[in-house]
Amino acid sequence: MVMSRRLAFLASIFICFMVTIASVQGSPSGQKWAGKNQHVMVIDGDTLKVDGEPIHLYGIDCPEIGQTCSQSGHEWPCGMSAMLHLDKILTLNRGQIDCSPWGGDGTAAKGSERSFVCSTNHEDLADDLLRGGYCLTIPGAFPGYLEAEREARQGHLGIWGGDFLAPSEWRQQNQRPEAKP
Amino acid sequence: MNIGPVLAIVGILLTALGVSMIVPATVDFIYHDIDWHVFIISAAVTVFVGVGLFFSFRPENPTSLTLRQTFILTSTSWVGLATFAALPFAFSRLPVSFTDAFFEAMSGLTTTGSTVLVGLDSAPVGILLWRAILQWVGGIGIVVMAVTVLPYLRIGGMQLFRTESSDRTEKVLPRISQITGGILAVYSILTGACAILLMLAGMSTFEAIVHSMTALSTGGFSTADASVGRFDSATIEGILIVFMLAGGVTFTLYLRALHGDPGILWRNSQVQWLIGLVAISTCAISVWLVFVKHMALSTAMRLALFHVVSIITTTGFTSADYGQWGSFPITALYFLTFVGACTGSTSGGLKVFRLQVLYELALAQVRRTLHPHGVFQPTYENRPITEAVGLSVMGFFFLYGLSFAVLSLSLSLCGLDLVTCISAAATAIANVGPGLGDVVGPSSTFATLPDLAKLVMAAGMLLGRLELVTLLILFHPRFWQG
Repeated sequence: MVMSRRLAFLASIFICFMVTIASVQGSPSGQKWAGKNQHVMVIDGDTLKVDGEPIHLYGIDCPEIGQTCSQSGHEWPCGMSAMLHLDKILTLNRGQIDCSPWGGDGTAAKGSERSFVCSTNHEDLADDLLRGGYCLTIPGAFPGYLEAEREARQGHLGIWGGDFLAPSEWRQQNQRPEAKP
Repeated sequence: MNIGPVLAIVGILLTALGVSMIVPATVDFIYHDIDWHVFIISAAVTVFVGVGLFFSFRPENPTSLTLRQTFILTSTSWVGLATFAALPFAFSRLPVSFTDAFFEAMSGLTTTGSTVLVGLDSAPVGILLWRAILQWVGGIGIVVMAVTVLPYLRIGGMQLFRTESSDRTEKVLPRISQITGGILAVYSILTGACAILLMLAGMSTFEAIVHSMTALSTGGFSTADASVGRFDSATIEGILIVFMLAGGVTFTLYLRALHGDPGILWRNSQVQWLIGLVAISTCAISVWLVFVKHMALSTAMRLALFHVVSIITTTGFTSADYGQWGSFPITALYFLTFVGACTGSTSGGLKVFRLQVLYELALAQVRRTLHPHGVFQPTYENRPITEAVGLSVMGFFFLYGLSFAVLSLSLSLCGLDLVTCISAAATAIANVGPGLGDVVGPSSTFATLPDLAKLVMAAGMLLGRLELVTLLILFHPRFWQG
């Protein structure tokens, strides 16, 4: 019992030390992407702006902001959900984002957005969005992306849990620019 | 069996729940949010049903509830409260189905903290406050239940605390109502203290109140999609670490400390084990983060301590995506999901005292093997662990494992992958909050799960919160005979 108390005492001292260190380490920085001095803004589920430059995630197409999907008879904002999910991933990973251009210089075949494969802490953002059922693949996507989409579809996750209009069709119906490579 | 008295009490609880909806309605009204009328309508419906139940089933000659009636009351009250607590979510302008609303309400009341809501940063303040109120009420509800009901139902070895209650605590506070009042006072004071410190650390008044309520209740609902990570403040994380741990300590210990025995907080072996587990886990994860993920030591310690405390107390706040930390931290945090903190606290999980009892039993078994003629009596807090307590704890572990397996299998029938199934089942039954993987991990929500999976998880949350047996016994045919 005495040994147990001594060990607990040492553990408590250790925790107090860590709380103190952790608490004085930093106050709110207010700079979201301090790690790499990048400014990242989420535009929608598959588009980012890094230091003002628009970046489209390669291989996926997500519902647009304002687009809704249906599940069990109720409409849910699948486009906004995809955008917020991407924003949450980036916030919790504190802007550790790495993007590599895909397809030559990364210029999209259509439109002006550049197409990139992006990851945060080695987590492929497009893969994550597909696994959660937030987005769908486009023709020619990586086999890994197709597998991620298949798993989400099998689990009836997100958009696969009900009915939805393909984002490309939704854009046509709502007269949005077709900018997905 | 006469369930009239049970329904009458459920009616009283529903009425109280309905009245509590006035608070978020008032806040919404002050903030000029049109959703205030949602709470008024929900309150009216809830109070109407509650008052109706009470007057319809009020016994003419009030008597104490029987053991079976107590079991039924415990289960029906939580299900009934969650159903009506879901009304504001379902009626609000949030795009959620009733299944989603029920999931959110059950997650709140059971202090789980898993959410299906996205866009919390711009959600109506009344809804955010309602989520916090549900967790705060659920937190005090489970503490009171653990002190007053569970020891007498002999759930999972809780009879140990029945003796403790009658032998020690009642000398200080002779009546259960006094103990309950004392616990409520301590709970409120700690919540207030946490809110003030969070405000001083930079949170707005509203954010501070919400986070203090969900920290003390070890619930983990936040006002932001990115949870505590939204604030990116080591000071805020430090404050929350202290109050999450405070919520994970047996609340009757605070009463005894206030009545002239402050050392009890330190001498209690559950607290010692909890602190020891936190220290060891934090140390190990920090070392991993430094050497494998190449983090600075201070950052590694800050992140490791916050998440170890958040998971072991079953709060579920996140400040970083620990799903990206690699194999060891993820595995360690997964096992910590099951541990829970002290009994008689707001936390869920297995509870430290059950691990202590099993450890003592295993130790005695090893000694008997080494010394076949020796007599070894396992003890807990210097009191012998009786055979009944030992069997009760072992039975609880078996049921916990079985329930976890059934929940995982049920989720797999929905077509979910292995990691999602076993982590969602674990986080539900242990009332933690976030799971693992891309679907239900710390950087995700439970919004994209199919409805059936949400209902399975809601059942798991209730099962874990009611310490399994309280709910499972209702499914035994003999319970309803005689």
